[in-house]
Formats: sequence, structure tokens, C-alpha cells
Amino acid sequence: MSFPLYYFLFPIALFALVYVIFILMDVYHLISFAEVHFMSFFMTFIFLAGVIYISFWAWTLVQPIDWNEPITFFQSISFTPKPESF
Amino acid sequence: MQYGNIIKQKQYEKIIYLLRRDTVTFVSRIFLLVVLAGVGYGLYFLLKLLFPALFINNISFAILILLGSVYALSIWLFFYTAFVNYFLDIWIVTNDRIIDIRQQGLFARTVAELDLFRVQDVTSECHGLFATIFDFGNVYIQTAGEKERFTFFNVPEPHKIREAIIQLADEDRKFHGSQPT
Repeated sequence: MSFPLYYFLFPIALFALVYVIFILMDVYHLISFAEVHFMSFFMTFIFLAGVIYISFWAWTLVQPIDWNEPITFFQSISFTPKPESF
Repeated sequence: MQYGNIIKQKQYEKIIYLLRRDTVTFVSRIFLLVVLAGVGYGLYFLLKLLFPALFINNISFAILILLGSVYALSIWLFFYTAFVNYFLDIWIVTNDRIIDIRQQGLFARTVAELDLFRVQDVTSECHGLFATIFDFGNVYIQTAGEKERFTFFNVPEPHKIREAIIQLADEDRKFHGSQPT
């Protein structure tokens, strides 16, 4: 059984979607339920800069990878006796 | 301030204290972030030392990068959410009432308030080495209302706040006592 490497990107896309929802919820809470404050602005800025940095770092590293390379889980089992056993 | 979304400030009402947990208590979150990041780096160096082939093979390298970035992004979001929770836990003391606003996780929020004239007893405590050094602690407010106890967690200068609340409660009782019934 084999499948291409890019199949691993599907759960990552799902993770990214959930991640963005969480960020939006956090920012929404800060905007709606807190006063405009340097600390909240600063922390949000640092957080978003960190997210961009980590994403860029990961993107740079995965660029040269061949995502079409197949991953084989189970090799086919052959019951044909080896020629040297005769 | 944008607290009009939460509290409907009366005309004669003045905000005396706007309290959050002491900044020192947030340092533990920063420490946890550093430890979790350290665990990630430690694991990376351990794998590189023991299984260098993992970083040469195309498939295992790709999986490691994806897992590493998910881990890094997760602890970063965990830290930010901890900050949001810290920042949105607020206690507001006005000359008329006390409002307790708590952010419980990302999707839960409670707002409770009590009139100052209902305050029966106020207790403050500094418990532990750091609390004593940095002067933060809890303030417990006993009321005659349904919710028996209000607690300000790890607020700075708890003893000073206790004294202020007692004074404000006395003034509010006098004010309500002088009101015609």
C-alpha cells in the first residue's frame, strides 16, 4: 500500500484552519472585551510576527521536498520460492 | 475604555480600581513557553545525534518538519491564549459596586457583580515566597448575596485593596442609608 507524500499536507491544512479560527477568536475577545492597551497590541504584534516567522521557516525547509514521492507501508509479499532453495 | 460592552456605568459611578492578576504571575507562563520550546529543541538535537538518517531521507525529513512546525505553532498559540486569558480576567471596583469578569478558556466568559453596600467582610492574603516579595495575593469579599464569596486572584497590593474596599463599602452604606425609601 502506498500513497504520495503530499497526503500529509491535508491534516496540516486542517490544522492551519483551526489555528486561524483560534487566532481570530483571541483577537476578537481582545478587541471586544478589553480596553485599547499598549500591552495587548504589543503581544498581538509579537504573536503574529512569531507565527509568520515559524511559517516562513517551515515553508523554506519544505520547499525542496519532492511531495510526489510515494510512501510504501506494506511491501507486496511473494510466496514464490527463491531459486537458490532448489 | 471599552467596558461599556460589559458594564453599564451609572452616571454617578466612578471606576476606582481596574485590577488584573499581577504581572509576575504571567512570568510562569513565559517560563513554561521557554521549557516547551527547550523540549522541542532538545528532541531535535537528540534525533539528529542518534538518527542522522532521518534528516537525509526525503520522507522522514518532510514529516519531521511538518511535526516540528505544528509543535512550534501550537506552543506559541498556547502562550498567546494564556496572555488573552490573563488580560481579560478583570476585576473592576467602582464607588458603587464590584464587577468580576472572567475569561474561562476561549469560548466561556462569566460576569458577576455585587453592590458595595452588601459587602460584609473583606479578607486579603499574601501566600508564599513570591507573593510576599512581589506583594500580590488574593482578596476575598464576603457578601450577603447569593454568591457568598467574591475572590480577586493574585492581584497586586491586596492589603491596600482590602482597605479601600472596606472604606468604599462604608461610604456606599451611608449613601444608601441616606436615600429616601
